[in-house]
Amino acid sequence: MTPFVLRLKLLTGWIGRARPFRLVVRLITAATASGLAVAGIGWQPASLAICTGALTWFALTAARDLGSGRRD
Amino acid sequence: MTSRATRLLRVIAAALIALALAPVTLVAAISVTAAWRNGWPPARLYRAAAWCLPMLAVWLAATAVSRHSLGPAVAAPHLAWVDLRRHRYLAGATLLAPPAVPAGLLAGGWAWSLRLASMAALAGGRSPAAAARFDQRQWRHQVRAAQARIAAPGTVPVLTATGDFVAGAVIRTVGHPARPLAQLPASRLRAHQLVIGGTGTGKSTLLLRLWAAFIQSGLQRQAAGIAGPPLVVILDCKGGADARRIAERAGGILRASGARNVAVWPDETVLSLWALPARQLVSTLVDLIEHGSGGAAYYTDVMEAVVALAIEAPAGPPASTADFLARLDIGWLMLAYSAGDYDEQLALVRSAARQVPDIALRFRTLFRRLGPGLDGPGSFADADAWYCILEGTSEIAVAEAQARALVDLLASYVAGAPAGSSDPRQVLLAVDEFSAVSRRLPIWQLYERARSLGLAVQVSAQSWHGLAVRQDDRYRLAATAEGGIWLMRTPHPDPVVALAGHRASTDSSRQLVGWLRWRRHGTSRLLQIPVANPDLIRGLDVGQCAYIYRGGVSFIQVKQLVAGPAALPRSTARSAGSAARPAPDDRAAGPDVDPASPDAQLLRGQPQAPLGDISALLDQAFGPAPRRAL
Repeated sequence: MTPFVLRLKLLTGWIGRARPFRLVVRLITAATASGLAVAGIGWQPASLAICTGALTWFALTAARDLGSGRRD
Repeated sequence: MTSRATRLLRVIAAALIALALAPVTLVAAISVTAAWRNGWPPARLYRAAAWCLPMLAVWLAATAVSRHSLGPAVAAPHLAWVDLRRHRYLAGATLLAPPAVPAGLLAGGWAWSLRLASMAALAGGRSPAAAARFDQRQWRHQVRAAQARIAAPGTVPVLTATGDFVAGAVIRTVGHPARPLAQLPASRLRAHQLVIGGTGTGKSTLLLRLWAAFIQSGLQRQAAGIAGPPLVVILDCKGGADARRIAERAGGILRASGARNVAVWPDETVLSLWALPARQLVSTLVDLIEHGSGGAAYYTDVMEAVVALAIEAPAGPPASTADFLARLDIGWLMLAYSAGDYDEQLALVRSAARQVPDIALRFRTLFRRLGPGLDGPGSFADADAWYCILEGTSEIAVAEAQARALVDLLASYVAGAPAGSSDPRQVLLAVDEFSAVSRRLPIWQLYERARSLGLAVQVSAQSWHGLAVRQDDRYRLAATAEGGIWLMRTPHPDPVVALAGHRASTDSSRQLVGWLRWRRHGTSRLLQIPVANPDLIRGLDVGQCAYIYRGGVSFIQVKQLVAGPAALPRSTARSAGSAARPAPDDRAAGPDVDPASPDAQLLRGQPQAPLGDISALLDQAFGPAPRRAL
């Protein structure tokens, strides 16, 4: 098994152990915000910035729904 | 212009600014509402504003690259206004969001900090009771947020990647950093700690987490070559069925944390009191018997002399209870000291001849009540964790004697580590329900000695008064708890709260001139209030605690540990004739035994690989086996 596949399995394991539903909701929220921004003004600096903001928010908050490899 | 008109002008100006910066005002209002709803500190909003910097940077960079100027960025509010007038709300909002969101978060953080400060100074709110109600409501919000933070499995590991201990989610802090999770350096686990909490407050849950963290942290240090293997010795001084249930739970958790074997004393394994050095054995045996002072001190001296004669006999110290009791006989003592130059000892035996049968009777009674738990071949070296159950509820005197013996055995074991040993064991002695044995176990003496031995002592009791019989001893225990004090719900937290110290607070008074109308005049004064609010501690819910350390307090929602499947088989049952020892680990197997070898596997009690077929060799040596008729 390649390291990439191993990491993917680890990630899916974390998602499965934690709160996958909330994670999906976060993902949909971030995607919706980005989509609305692009739909509103097209690919302009402001819409790019909103995509960046949504991505940052998702990366920061998804960690608590992923859990960790350690037991608690 | 009157002051009233000035105030009115200020209000109008503020409203106009808020209207002009409507997007920023909207974001600020949302962020303040979120902070109020979740009990966040203002720093949380400031951090969120800081995390908007990537968005801001991308906006400015993209503008500069695409338009070769930052002018369009400055003109964004105007462009957004044009879009809004043309009813293109989505486009207007998109253009405004990159600057408005961080600015709104900053404004919200500032407004929220003003609100908190005015409420803390009792100067805010419309009604006289507003400040008190605000604090109670914020506490409820903070508790709810903390419970939500630890709800997801796997989000609160016992140790972080940097090795810090995580107790749970922070509800509120005073004088400590306000983090989402309550992280403490692992070094605190290796220092003396105090845990106080009544029945049903979640004390056992917290203790299990602390013990698991000690094992995990100890194993990490061992792997790094900093210290020897960890050892946790738990004295459950309450006893009964409840203690056995907790022992079962603790065993599972400690094994899952990395302890290779967990011994439950005296149910599954035994220790040997007779392994103590002769001089220490005399002192321990005398202390096991309750004796008085004043006139009774004479009998104590006689007893000590007789016990010393029995232990320090030329034949060597006794190897078992039966051996010791056999020596408490005038005939045996006379015979033991008859050969050689022991005139002084013989004189002592003769002068104590009348008391020897009484002393023998007392010790016979003591050992009958103590049971066989201290008469076996075991040692603390045999396991990584020991759960010792003392029947402190049903038989206080027995539990006191057992606790005394076990603590002396442990101190002797720790002190007996080879001199100059580079990796001494990391030892934690946890005395749960200390009140049951506090009368005759002066544990604060061990506190003093433990520092030099590298032994951490963790004492837990149901109340402040259960810590020790005398007030001086209670304060001594609390004052030397360098690893901090964990306070669960307790009706009398005041002495511990006083140890946490005080902080300055502003107390403002206002003049009420009508229903919910205040004059703009009042006074403020500085007050010293307790760092840890005793009323909050009295009202803590199950699983909540106040961690007091260095003049600060963190209120924590403790995360419950869940025991995983046992990593190693439990200790074997007691075999006939001799007390069973816990499954020896690799160290016990000896340095010459390969841990992977069948011998080591046999010692560990693990199933071995099937042996190879050697029938051909046997046939060659002894001839073919006779065929059985079917």
